[in-house]
Amino acid sequence: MDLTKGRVILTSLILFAFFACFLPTNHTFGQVNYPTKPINLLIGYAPGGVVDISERFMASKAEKFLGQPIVVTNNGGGGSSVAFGIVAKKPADGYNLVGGASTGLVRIPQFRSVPYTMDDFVPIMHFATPVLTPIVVKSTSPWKTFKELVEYAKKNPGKITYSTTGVGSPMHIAMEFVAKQEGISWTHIPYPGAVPAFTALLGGHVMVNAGAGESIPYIKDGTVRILANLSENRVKSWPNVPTLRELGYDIYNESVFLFAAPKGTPKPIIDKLDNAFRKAMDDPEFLSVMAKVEFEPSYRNSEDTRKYLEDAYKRIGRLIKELKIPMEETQKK
Amino acid sequence: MGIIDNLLLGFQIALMPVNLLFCFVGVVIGTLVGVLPGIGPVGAMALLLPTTFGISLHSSLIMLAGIYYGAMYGGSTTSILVNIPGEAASVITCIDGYQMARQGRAGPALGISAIGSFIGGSLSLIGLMLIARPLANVALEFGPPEYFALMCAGLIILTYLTQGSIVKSLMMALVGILLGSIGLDVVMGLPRFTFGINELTDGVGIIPLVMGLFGISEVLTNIETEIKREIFYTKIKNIWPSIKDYAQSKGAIIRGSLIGFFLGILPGGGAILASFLSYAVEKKISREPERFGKGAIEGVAGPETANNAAAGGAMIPLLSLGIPPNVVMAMLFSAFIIHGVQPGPMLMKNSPDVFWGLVVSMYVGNAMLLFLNLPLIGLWVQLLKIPYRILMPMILLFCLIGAYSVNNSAFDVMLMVFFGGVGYLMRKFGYEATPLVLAFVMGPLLEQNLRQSLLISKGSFSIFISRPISAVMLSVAFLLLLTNILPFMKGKRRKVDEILKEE
Repeated sequence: MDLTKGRVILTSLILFAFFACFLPTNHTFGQVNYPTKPINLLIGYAPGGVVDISERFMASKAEKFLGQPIVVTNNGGGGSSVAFGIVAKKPADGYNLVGGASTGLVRIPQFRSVPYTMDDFVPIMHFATPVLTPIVVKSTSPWKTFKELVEYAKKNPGKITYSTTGVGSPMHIAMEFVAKQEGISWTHIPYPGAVPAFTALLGGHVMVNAGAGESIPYIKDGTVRILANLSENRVKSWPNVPTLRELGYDIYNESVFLFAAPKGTPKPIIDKLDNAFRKAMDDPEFLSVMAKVEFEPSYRNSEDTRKYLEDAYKRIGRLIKELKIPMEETQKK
Repeated sequence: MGIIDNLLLGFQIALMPVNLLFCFVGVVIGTLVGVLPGIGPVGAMALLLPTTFGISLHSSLIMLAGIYYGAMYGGSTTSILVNIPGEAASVITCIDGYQMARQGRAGPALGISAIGSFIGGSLSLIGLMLIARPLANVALEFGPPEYFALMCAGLIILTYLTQGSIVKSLMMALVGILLGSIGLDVVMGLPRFTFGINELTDGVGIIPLVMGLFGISEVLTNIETEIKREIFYTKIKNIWPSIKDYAQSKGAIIRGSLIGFFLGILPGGGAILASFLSYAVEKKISREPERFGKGAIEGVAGPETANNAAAGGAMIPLLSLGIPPNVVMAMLFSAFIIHGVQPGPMLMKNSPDVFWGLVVSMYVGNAMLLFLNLPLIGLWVQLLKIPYRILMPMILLFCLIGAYSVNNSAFDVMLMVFFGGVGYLMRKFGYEATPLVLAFVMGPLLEQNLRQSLLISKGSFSIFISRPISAVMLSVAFLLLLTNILPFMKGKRRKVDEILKEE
């Protein structure tokens, strides 16, 4: 008899446990109850890359302030556009975030048809920008300053070759912007990535390379010479390198590294995430991680990041038209 | 003098118990992911990279490198046993390796690939130690025109890979080139043939393609032909290669080491290309080319040596220039960056412990792999006794996991299954998949370098003959083509003569 009773109790317990699994767990009772379960973060770059290293670090520190783990996965497809495309369709409940760079929101959607727009996202915050977006030549070349390079190009139209990561890359747009303003022409040689683009300069197959962070150790050891930087402002750690803006060209690379959530994610949740990620930047390790990946800390809150991205979006759209950069047919309106 | 001190330093680091442990863990994981079809070194390293944040730079580099060359050892196992390449660089091993297994010579095939891998790995390490810097500078000389010329010479390889109809294999090569052109066009920066599918922007992945065409289609083929398999394990003759096997493979191993080492230095699909080229060379210079495709041991020894030698060669641009030539090396590069050490020209000077520790650990690891793999051969051969109704679903499962793990992408899984269906139909109609894979790897490189060259030269084709390296390579390619075509034409003429005589 006892056995039967025990079985009844056991069965009831199992049944209870079974149905307990279906109890709703993610009620959002205002901001107080967020987060109540692990948060998913999809990083739009391959594991081990500089964006991945820095964003994983941010996530590992932010989860302490959120009280729930952040589960990081990667999808490096389509220059981060695959990851943005996936997260755009996820529920806007604060448990689905995407980590990437501004290029995935303001640049890629203007060239190619991707299954999302910038308006499908609410930016949470941005925490860094590349230290240098350098324009370099070999030290054995005759050009000591960017001005000398431009002068040479004036006298020898089309003769200067420069490598970037491709048509429509920030470096390509900047170089063509300079060419248009100066009325010169130089020849763009696109490469599938910063590494081969910079290798082409080392091998002497192109004369100028724009935008490869890989050049930094070579600038330091004197193999290549930096002529200008594409960042918005002069960089503290490279005080002698002028930006293109200082040289009289109204252009800069808007690149920032950011987190975003699908549109419609409640404001209190965004604020809580923004706050947690910003606190991660106060961690004593933060600066050393930034130094390793050659990033410069740079913060804007959710609202300011949105404005910044909207500005960049309009500016790039204008440049694409002015410089007649090719784009996918479906994007031409 | 210097080199001996450096080697001693390297041994001090590589023989530290903790580093020995990580080296062992690395090569074991590498062997496993190499053996398991679908799961390759890229997926495994991507998964493990974040876990190395906490351990020292030496240990994490030693382990990650171990995974890479370990996978090159293991890759041949399933190629030989079940006609499914363990990873992309072992595709070509299927041709003769599998035939050897069918003749009951799986043991010698596995043995010679382990020994060849060891020799190839060791020779390339010696090259890495002695001539890394000058070689790296030569690799820099390779600009777009040189690559274009190299790819032209490489495409001639196609004509050696064919077992059956040359027309069919050229058709497959064209399909491979078309598949290779899916994705972003490098010169215009715009997508081609993507049909609006965002996941195709990066093109078709080599893992879904190879695992579909070889893995899934093999599983599908086996569904209908289970009974015939009996012959396999009833007549397993010997486990070890015979004296004759060694004699036949000796040249192939040495040539494979050289081919692998030099192609490995160049960016792109070094290990894959090296294995194809080695096979083509062996077939071309063999006195009995008709044995190839029917279980020639050189056709296993050469490519398997070459892909391991390529693993050593690929380290050169990373360690001496700070430039990762392929995805796997990019992951090692990340391990350096995470620990705040910059690989490149200053590495040997600033952190000799890192450079020499890694190089010596690769010696140690190669020795470990040899001792790990030789005893395992007996075990692997026993695998053939597993009924196919159990083995094949497992292979299918590993292929599915492998395709997913590279990019966490369900789309890649679907792509692989699609190519599985295509590969099955190709087998049914007698189309070979190897020319397709080769063209798939080389096609995009050929196109990109041709267009870059012409951009540099402002549209003039003289750039290909005015530069010495490309001029020489193009001449070699042309001569190779001639030597291929002439016998073919002569044969035709003889036939015509015979017909005329008869009349």
